[in-house]
Amino acid sequence: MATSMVHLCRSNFLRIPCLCSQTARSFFTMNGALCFRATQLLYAEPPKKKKRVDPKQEMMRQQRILKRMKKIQFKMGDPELKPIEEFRTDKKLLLDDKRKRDTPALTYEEQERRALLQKDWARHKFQEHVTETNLIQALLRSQEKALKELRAESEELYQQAIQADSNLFPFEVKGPVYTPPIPGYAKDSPDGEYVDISKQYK
Amino acid sequence: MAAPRVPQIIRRMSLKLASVGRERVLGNVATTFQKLHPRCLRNYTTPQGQSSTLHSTESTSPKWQLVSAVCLERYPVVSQDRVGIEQEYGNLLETVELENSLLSEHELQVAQHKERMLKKQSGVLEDDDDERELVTALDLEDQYTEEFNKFTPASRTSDTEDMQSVQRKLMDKLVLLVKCRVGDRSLWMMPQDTRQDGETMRQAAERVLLSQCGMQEMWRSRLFGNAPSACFKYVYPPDVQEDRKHKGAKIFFYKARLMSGDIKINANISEDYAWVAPGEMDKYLIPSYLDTVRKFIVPIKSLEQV
Repeated sequence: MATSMVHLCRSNFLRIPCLCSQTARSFFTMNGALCFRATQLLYAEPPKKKKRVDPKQEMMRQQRILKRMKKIQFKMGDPELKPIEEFRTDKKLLLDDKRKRDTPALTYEEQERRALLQKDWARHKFQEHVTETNLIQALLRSQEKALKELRAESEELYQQAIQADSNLFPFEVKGPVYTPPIPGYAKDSPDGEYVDISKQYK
Repeated sequence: MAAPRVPQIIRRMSLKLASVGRERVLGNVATTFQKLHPRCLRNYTTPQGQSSTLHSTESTSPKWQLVSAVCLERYPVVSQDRVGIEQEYGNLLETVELENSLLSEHELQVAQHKERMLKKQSGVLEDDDDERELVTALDLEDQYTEEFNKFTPASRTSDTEDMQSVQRKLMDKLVLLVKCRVGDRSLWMMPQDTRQDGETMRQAAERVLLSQCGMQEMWRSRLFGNAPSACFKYVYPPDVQEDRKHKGAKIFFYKARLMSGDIKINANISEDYAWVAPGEMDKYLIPSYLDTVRKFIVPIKSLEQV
């Protein structure tokens, strides 16, 4: 009697759809009259056979994987960028208390002056940019007019003039210095030869 | 048609600039204008159709003689001084950098030295012999300043008044101008020469550099680009027009940069030469020529007077 009561309850339970969630774990096997046992829900994948692990082969496999990863990384480049020594402060120095510089706190006037100067500078640079852009446009206009005039005279010369100049690049020039070179200064470096020992990053 | 010798042409030409007007008056050029100026419309003649022969223009007699001129520039040797707000902002950046920085080794040692001095004076410190043997940080500073004062760098502003010297204004850009005979008078202009047969305009410019400026070594100067930077047109007087069979000349300017050394002017062609800053060019060049030249010469920003 007891078993038939349980049977009825369970079967009723299943008939209510929201309460019935068929997961692998809660697969109800007491359903039909046969009550046969079924395996877990496998989702069309039979369980994997466990292979005997040979330690040497395992190591070889892992090495091969590492090699492949290194190759890919080499192609992609370093995720960590090369450090620029001038922009980096050594952590040891930062933590050292003796090295703290004691500067007095900024007054309100000083802060105001700095803020206003920053704004003035931004305005100045913007004006510079505007004049530069206009200058470039004027140069281009002048060149276009010249090419037009040339074309009016001779199409052949015009075609030759609009060819790209292959001798233009590479173009190297050293910029202006603060003080001009002294004529007749010692040819060799007066400080002697030096060897650059700065760190090279791959 | 054989190109006549350069001195002859230049001697025969006299510049009637008023009659030609500016570049904007495009007499026989194609119909596409960028800005339709009223003056253009008045002087607008029927378009001749861009030298209709696409293959060669030698068959139809060209109306304008083609001349290549070279704008040889010596770029600034020395950096310009800071002006006004640049100076202020530069100072601000330096102070901020100093404030955000940590003490260096040298500064630490100076501080230590000062502490020791104070302790000595107050009579706390014991070892006096050690102190005298060591070279203190302040001594090192004195040594450094002494060494620095012994060295005198070259002057940033050269005081030469010689207009022909390439070391003239070290902070400014200099342009080479030559004085040539044109018709009955001598005029200042950039070195130029008519284009000969079989030459492109750029090759003519290279020839000008070689023959008139003495640039035998190619590395001493550098011409930029195959295309000209500007064009200056002028009409010959009637007698010259008949003689030359050209209405006038079109001067195409090519930009070049003096990389090193100095020039050797060919005295057969030019009477005189000068290295002129863009701000001084109005004392040398005639107004219409100056207008064209100003359009493609980039003056130095802070020394801008052009």
